[in-house]
Amino acid sequence: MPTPDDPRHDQFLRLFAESEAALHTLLRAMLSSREDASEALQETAVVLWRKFDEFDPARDFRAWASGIARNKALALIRDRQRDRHVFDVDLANRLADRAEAQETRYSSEREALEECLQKLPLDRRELVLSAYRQGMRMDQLAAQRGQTPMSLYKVLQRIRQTLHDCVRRNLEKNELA
Amino acid sequence: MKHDWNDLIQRHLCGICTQAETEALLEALRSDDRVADLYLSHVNLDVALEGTAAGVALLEDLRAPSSPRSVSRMWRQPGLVRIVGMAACLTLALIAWKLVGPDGSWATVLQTEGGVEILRDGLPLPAVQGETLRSGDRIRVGAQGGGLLEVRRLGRVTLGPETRLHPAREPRMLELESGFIEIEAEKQPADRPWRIRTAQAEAAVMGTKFTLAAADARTVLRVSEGMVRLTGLSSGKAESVEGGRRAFVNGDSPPAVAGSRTGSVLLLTSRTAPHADWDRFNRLIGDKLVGTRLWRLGFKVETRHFDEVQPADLQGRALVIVSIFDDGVGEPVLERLRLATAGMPLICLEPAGYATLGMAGGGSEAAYGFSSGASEVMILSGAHPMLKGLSIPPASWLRTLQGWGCPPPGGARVLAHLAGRPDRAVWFAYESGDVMAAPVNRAPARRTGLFLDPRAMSNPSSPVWQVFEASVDWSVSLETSP
Repeated sequence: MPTPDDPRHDQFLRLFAESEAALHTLLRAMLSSREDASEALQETAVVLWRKFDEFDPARDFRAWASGIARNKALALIRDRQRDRHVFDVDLANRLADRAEAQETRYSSEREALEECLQKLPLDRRELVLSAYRQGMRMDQLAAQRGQTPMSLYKVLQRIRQTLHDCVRRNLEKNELA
Repeated sequence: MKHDWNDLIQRHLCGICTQAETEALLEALRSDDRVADLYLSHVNLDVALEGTAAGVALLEDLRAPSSPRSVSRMWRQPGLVRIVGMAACLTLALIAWKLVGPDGSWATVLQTEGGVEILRDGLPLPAVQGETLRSGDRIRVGAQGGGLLEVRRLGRVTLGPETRLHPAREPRMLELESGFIEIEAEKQPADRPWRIRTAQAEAAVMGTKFTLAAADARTVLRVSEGMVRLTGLSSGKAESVEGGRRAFVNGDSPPAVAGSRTGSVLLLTSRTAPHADWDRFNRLIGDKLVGTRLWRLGFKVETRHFDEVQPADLQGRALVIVSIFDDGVGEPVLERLRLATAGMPLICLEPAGYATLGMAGGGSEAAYGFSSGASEVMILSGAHPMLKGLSIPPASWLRTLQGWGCPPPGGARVLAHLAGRPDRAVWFAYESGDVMAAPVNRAPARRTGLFLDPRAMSNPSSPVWQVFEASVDWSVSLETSP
């Protein structure tokens, strides 16, 4: 395992930062749950760092990291097969294949999201970003705003759908251009 | 049963689907590629939103050192995860600062020359290429300095001499305390354009190329392309200034808009000056006073010496100014550049250049000359635009060294001449198409002859500057003279 003083340390951080969003999407696609995906991402990062000595710089880091992330997700799925929200291995692999194949598009979608967020009125932007903060619970946020969780969920769903449509439209516009 | 897949996927990602809905979704994900792709797209949106929210939270923690929640949480974790977590959070923060605007880092230094400093926490640091300007940083350019910044979500910003610039408290706003900036702006969202504020005015950037100068209780805007919305802060009046127009906001006045040529100013100066007085004069005019005054008028200025200037240097100029030179130094260069017939406006500050440029001569008198000793200059009254608004008492312009030209009869409009010698003009102008002396028959563009008194120029509030500014503004104006 390399040490933090190792010159490859900076290289690892750079490569991981570049691939992090793609790995997170892959894990979230396979695991569905936000908490499971975050946990798997952190464990993947640890394994990647431990094995970084074995990584051939001539290879594609993201492809190498995706393989390790997939294994982490599959191990978690096997542990939780009884949970009705957890996908089976075949479905998880199918979604992971499609996610990897379309990563370029998803990367563009993530970039387009910034612009779409800017187009939202400030109060809506703040609301959606509050809801997505780590550790934020819907019932707490709803109580802060004097709403029921269900009415808050509906507001968030509308904002989310607006963002989703905006991202799609922007990408289609760019593709046409 | 038909499903609203968008709705169902979002409910699934929130964990609030019924068992039947979950089974329907799983079946569709297994068999229908379109549903699978829609699901992945929603997942990706969730991941991006989480990342952005985490980045915003981290930035807020970093801004409030008394409650560093995320950072302290990360540092409690074992080494490797901590390092990775920090790297990930920094990546997310890079995404997030774009949303919070000037509260994060707001610009990168691309180039500097001369003295350019960053004021950080009250301390001046030299600005170096690649430096990131943080929240609270102010940029300060010295009298001989200049620079180029990449301002996030705005574009490239060229800094002129004596410029003071910093982000405002409001998002997407810069404050130009003084000096000159040229902006090549990215396309801006119509509802939230970047704004630049000076003491007199606020310019809303609509995606364009323009210059903005703030000095002497005046803001000058010159738009090359696109459109800028300029509002006078005291008057509250706003004007849309399009490409090919300029606007002045003097003190509390509303913006005054007029057509103006676009492009930079080329200032031709001499390195050869055998006479001590001329050397002083030349440096005063060429290297500092004229250049600084032009920046303050909102012009990007490029200076070339007579021994280095090339015909290509004339391209894209709104105006060329020929500063003084010693006999024999400038004339061959003016000929080589074919400046006499060049299609852009010209101001010649050197009487020895008048004949070469066709601005004087052709009569029995000498084309130009100099006389020493105190003499009065008569400023004439009349309808010429350059004389409008001047507050110089007639016959009060004393000189110790006079340079004059003798324009051909019926050609130039003489605006000032030596007292008692109306044929010896010290300030005269040709409208495009006016008769000129050989080798030019008709003026190809506006031409102005003007001799500046170095002693008067040393005083920034001298009336001589009114004459110079009137000459520059008329030269580049697209309004027709009466």
